[in-house]
Amino acid sequence: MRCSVRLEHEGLDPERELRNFVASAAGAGAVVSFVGLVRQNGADGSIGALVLEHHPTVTENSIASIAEDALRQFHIDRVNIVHRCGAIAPGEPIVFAAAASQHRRAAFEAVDYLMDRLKTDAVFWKREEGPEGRRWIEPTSGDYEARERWGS
Amino acid sequence: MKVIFFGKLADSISRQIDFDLAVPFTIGELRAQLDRAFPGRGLADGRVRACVDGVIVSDDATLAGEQPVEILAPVSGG
Repeated sequence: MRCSVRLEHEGLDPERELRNFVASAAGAGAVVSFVGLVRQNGADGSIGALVLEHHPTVTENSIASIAEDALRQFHIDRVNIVHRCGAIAPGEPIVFAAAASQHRRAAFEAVDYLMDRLKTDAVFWKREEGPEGRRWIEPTSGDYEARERWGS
Repeated sequence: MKVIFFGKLADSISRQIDFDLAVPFTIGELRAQLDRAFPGRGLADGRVRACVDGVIVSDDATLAGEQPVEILAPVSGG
């Protein structure tokens, strides 16, 4: 399977994901991975948790579609995305994205692409929860600009 | 008919409502009626999408009211 996507409800262990991905990428010349962490400070100060609401089918399908697009657009052999959902504490991993390729440049570019797409197109509803209550978050103009770099 | 909301729409309306609408109807008609019933909640936002049986459906899709319709607020991304 060249494309592996998973929603993780409890915890995300990036080291284990990377180990497994490298093991599955036999024959590749490069593996590039990215780990996203929940920042300590939200838009309005420190946050208690980031909550990612998801849809039981559409969310995973949206991530799979992004992974398949990357396989089509870059000279890569494999893609793996593991994304958290639910309540995530500051400092905890929220996403693991990796690509394997024959040559490193394609894997770097593919992971950059994966993250730009995930930040705008993945079907999540994200909110910060803290002492001030809850605040829904939408992609920033910077997120949309980053996504536009890759065209449609 | 059951209408289920996701994202901030669930906060501003409810997670799930029973909504009366003459059948058959299109998703566009449902969205317009919901916007009239819950004004100012952002239901007319073009980024709001509808989902039936796990699949995103367009405004011109026609339904008989048997399946729940999920209304998805604009997504946040991951």
